[in-house]
Amino acid sequence: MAKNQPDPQNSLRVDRRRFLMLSAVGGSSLVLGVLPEGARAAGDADANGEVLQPVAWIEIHPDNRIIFHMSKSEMGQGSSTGLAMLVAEELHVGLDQLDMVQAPYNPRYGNQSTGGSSSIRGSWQPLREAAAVTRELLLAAAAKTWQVPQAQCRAERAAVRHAGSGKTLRYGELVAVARQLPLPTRVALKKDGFTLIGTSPPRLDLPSKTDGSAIYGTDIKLDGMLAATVIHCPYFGGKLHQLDASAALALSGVHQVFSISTGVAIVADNHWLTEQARQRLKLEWRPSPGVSPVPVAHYRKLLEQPGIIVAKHGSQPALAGTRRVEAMYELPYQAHATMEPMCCTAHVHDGKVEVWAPTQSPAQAYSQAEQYGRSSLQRLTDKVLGKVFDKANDDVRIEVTQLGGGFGRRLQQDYVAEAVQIARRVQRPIRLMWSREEDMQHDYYRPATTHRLRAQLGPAGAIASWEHKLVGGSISEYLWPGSTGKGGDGAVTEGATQLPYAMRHLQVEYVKLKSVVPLGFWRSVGHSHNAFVKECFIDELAHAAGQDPLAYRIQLLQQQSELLAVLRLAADKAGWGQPLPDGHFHGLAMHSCFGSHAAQVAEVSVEHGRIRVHRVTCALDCGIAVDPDAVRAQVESAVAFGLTATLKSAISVEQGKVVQSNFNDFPLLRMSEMPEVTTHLVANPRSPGGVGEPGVPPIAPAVANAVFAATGQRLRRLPLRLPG
Amino acid sequence: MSSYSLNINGKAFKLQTSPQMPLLWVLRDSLGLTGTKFGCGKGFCGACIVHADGQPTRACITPIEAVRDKAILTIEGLSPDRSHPLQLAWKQHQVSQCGYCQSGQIMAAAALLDKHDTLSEAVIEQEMDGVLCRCGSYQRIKQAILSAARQTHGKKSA
Repeated sequence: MAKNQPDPQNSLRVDRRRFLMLSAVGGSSLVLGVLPEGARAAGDADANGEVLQPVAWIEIHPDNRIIFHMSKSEMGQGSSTGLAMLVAEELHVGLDQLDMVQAPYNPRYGNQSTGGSSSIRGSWQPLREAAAVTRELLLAAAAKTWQVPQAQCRAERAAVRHAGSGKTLRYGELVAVARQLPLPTRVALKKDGFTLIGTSPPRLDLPSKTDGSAIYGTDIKLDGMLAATVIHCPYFGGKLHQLDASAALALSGVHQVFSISTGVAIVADNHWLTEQARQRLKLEWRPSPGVSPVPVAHYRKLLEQPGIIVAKHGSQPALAGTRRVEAMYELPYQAHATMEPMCCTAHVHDGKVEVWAPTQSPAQAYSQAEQYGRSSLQRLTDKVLGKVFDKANDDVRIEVTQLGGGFGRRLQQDYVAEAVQIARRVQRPIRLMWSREEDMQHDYYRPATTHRLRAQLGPAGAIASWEHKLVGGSISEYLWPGSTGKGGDGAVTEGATQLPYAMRHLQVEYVKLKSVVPLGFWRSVGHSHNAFVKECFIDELAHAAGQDPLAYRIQLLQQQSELLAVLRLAADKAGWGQPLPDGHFHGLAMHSCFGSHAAQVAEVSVEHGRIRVHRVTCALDCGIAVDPDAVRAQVESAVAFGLTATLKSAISVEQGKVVQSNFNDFPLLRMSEMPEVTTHLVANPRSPGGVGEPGVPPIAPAVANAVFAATGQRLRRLPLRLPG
Repeated sequence: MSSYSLNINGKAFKLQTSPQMPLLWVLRDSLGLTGTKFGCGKGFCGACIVHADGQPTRACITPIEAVRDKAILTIEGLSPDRSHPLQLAWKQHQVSQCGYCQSGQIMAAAALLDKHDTLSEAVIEQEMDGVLCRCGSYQRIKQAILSAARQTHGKKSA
């Protein structure tokens, strides 16, 4: 946006209308403009009219308390601290002076969804502007109080100081005057000279995660609360045929067993009793006739069917004089397997629906709570109120708790719908906790995909043609039936359709399957499978062309300076081409997604058929790293998350059911298997890119390419297994 | 149903419950000590690790009867003010991400510190290997334990 304002001082005009509009574009909305002059402050906190809240996120109290209403979800990625840093930087307060509180669902915050590695990069502009507007308002209030020009006033550590007289007023002391002033018309955002951005202060959420005081989805304590769990039909698309709960209900402390929209709910005094009751239920589930998942084993055959051309550039070259390379790759379904199983706390009473949810999508949680917690008459009223006032119904409240992992799973709100149905039925507060088995078998999985790659190489390994055909279930079609029409599905083909490497002809074809197996967004989504395929195949082409995989990529990246910088950084830091310990080999991969570029070099050994990853050297260009240590932590996390899928676990579906059930048959990477990860950040002063996901896609191909270097065996199926 | 007088974090708790009820749900659901987490219910993940007479114990598969006479220590009782060497090291190394497994990690590590006079990376890997973290904070956990060990054991730890 600054680009559109050719103002030499990097300052931008802000009028109320424009700020609203900009903020809407930037994924936020404001209380400004919808409230009359002099009464801008909003929310319950302002009931007595003493608080300054010129924007939804920032609230300044006369007692100098400065509250930041953090409207994204904290699921371990650390962005809550990063967002607070953005606010503190432009509000000119210390992070220690900011009281961060988790915002409930409220449309005034705009898009609260936390996914797509978007929290920091999506908030970079609007949150800093919001803080700057508040700061300028306080500066104006001080200038007015002292009857001095505003230019002589400086804001620092939550106080305004007048240069000439040395007079100082704390922000809280300026609230009453500031409340009477119009919004500033100009705000300037720092372009450099940051005091907080680029540093790594202690995470704000960390202390509560070292003493058990952090509150997750079922840690809320309410009077009269009961425990609940849900059993789902093991057959996707199947139905409950018979339920006999008499033995379960005979247990003392088991309250109710009943059907809900997704399965059978058990309500008891505590969670152990819900499990005892489950074991005594007589349940008969039946698969629905004609509804069965397409076996992944059939995908190879389906590759022969025509698909949808989702990308095409250039024209197919003549075959003469070119060398052909062809390979098939197969990737399984993947589960999110968050350490905290799906859970939610709810209370439906007196026409109110109260929900405490570990959710990545408060808006979806709201809509589920509204759908299942309100009567049809209430819902009609809600709809009218929502249309007229663009406002959430105060009778439906979504509080966001800490998330015990998200990785995309908690964008789907099935568990919120369940908790609300159960709470409404029993008319008492309930905490719903799924068993690990239910969580493993009723995920929204990363789709299984099978890929065929065909390339033609010209002189010196130049890519004359690249054809990528893939088969797999459509995520978008599963989540929003009919939404993809005759088109493809970017969620499945992303990372395959726009390649950085020079090639004369590219074609990507997708055989789109309608899935019976629930599909969803798994950390890095389509990039997770397509980067594996693309980066392994590039490695194959390098070897086919007789070239070093690094040199080959450099040759194909031509003038792409950002990509070359990240690739060279990873290679240099890893010592690519330098001698390694005996039996250790390097593999390389790179991928761009979510506004960032990542390259990784994996150092691997293979002994007795066992693949061991010793070191992973990562380079990341995520633009300005708001909190470099948090960025490094996310890369470490992405490598670990990706290695479970690379080396250890997969979800398989047999006879319409998921085979795996717990961490014994879906093992996660363990400490002894964790490589030493070092992360090097490219200094690139552009606006921040995403951080949570870009580290995932390169790890699987980097390891597979290292295994090839070690053994000469090209493993094209995940998880990687050496034959024999 | 049986009567229990439990010693948890140095305090006495009385309750009536089934002898088979796992310690995890006694802590969480009966006593409101929610710092200890449910992860798998089968003892596979370690999110529920507490100490029973100093021994790291998976509370999700430990019937209350089995620990009726033992001193139970949970994450809430590790220190009154986050001052345990591990809690300080956790902060120093910025270990926690989602945090859900971290009570189990810290309690497992605390037992490890008590048990060994010296700690090496190999010992830490061996003893912490069954405590799972989906966020992959392992590298920092290891560094934090080594830091805390240096603090606790002096220079004996590598």
